[in-house]
Amino acid sequence: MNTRTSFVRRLANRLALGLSKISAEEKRDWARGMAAEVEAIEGDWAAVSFAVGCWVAILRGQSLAAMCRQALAALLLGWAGVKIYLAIWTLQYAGITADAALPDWIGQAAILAGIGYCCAGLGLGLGRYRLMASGFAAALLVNGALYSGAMFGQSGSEFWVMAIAIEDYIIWTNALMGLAIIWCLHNRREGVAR
Amino acid sequence: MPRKPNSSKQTRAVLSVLWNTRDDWWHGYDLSQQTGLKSGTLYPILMRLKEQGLLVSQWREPSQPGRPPRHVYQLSASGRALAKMQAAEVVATPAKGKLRGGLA
Repeated sequence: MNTRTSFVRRLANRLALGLSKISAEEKRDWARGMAAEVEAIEGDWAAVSFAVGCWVAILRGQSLAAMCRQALAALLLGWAGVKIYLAIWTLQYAGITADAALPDWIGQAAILAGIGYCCAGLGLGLGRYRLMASGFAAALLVNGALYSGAMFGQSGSEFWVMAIAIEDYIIWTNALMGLAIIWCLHNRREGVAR
Repeated sequence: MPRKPNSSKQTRAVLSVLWNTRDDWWHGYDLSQQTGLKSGTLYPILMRLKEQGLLVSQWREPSQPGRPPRHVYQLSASGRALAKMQAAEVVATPAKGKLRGGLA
């Protein structure tokens, strides 16, 4: 008997485990029931198909607030990815396209800020609001230090740095953080926050 | 004219299977196999029926050790009454359907 778990079965198990994470509190019992059902299915592909359907069922039953939370978390995680990618690009190619060579610490700080966004996105998505708050605080502090240092420490690149600072720091950080806080306050009032 | 609640083909198929075996407890996967409904369609129906008090569920220890307990479902008294009424309607007006529940 082949005791190794196939990739397809592992995928089904992962999907089943994810059900509890994406479900709202009131549907948690259903999500656990679905996950147990997936584990009991003999066929690997049948288990994957059933698990995908369970995801659809859980997402269909979500309230609009929960859907917004997940969309916002996805946006944050996406932005964290972009931020980290740009930071790595900056570290690799600094000075090639920018009008002034950028010191390495700018890229390194941007990676840290990206990790902060990542924590905020995960915290929001999983309902871990302390993690979300810590992530946002870290991103705010690191981004603030980054742009202050870049603007006052460099000459010749102020406009470029200012443009990115406005886009990233003011628009993205504050807008995403603002939306996340509004979401949390709204759901605390509604009594559905986890 | 507003549609009667729980009168969709899919819901009627679920009610039919549960009514025809009213003393048995059903697992979600077995119910899905029996009705021909995908889990993405079946579970929202089960959730709605439970919210309406037409379905009861409980956790059952699995026959195989090491597996998690599974959810099982059965019609409640009011669910049985509804399913019985729908079954009587179908006998009065038989129709062809694709679902395997027998009421579609």
